[in-house]
Amino acid sequence: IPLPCCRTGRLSLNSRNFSKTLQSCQYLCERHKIILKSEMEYKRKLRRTIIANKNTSAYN
Amino acid sequence: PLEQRWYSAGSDQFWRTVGEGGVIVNSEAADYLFSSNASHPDTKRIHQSLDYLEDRITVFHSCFLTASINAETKNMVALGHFILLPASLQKEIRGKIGHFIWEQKTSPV
Repeated sequence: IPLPCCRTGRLSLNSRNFSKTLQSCQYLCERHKIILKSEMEYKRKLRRTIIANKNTSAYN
Repeated sequence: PLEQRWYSAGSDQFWRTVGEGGVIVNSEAADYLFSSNASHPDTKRIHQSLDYLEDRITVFHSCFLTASINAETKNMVALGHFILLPASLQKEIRGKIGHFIWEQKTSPV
């Protein structure tokens, strides 16, 4: 049985629920583990940038 | 049948291909977001959106559509293999896992 991240059948997964589904998976294949980790790091960085920009613009 | 709402970033060939499988709508209403280019401004906009940052959106590579059409049974293709990541992440990830599935068929993004 393939892991949830690699399971086929497109109707249950879509662009709206994919990310949260992946994060809630107990078992991920190596590929998806790496992808998820990098993606989360990217999101963290971007969030920090947005917050920093907001603070900067508040003083201008 | 289940209603599927599709959106494809930019105006590429997949707009038409997708027509049979569902209704093409704007990106706000779509259940599926496809793009063939992470550097395209539409795709970039999605990758910088709050929805993306808060895990409410994933963009998939349009190759999923061609792969599904070519597969004998449409449900044989795993959507999870076609995640389209922000352009800045692709190089880093490629270094760790090798090529993305869509790169076997098309030129690198």
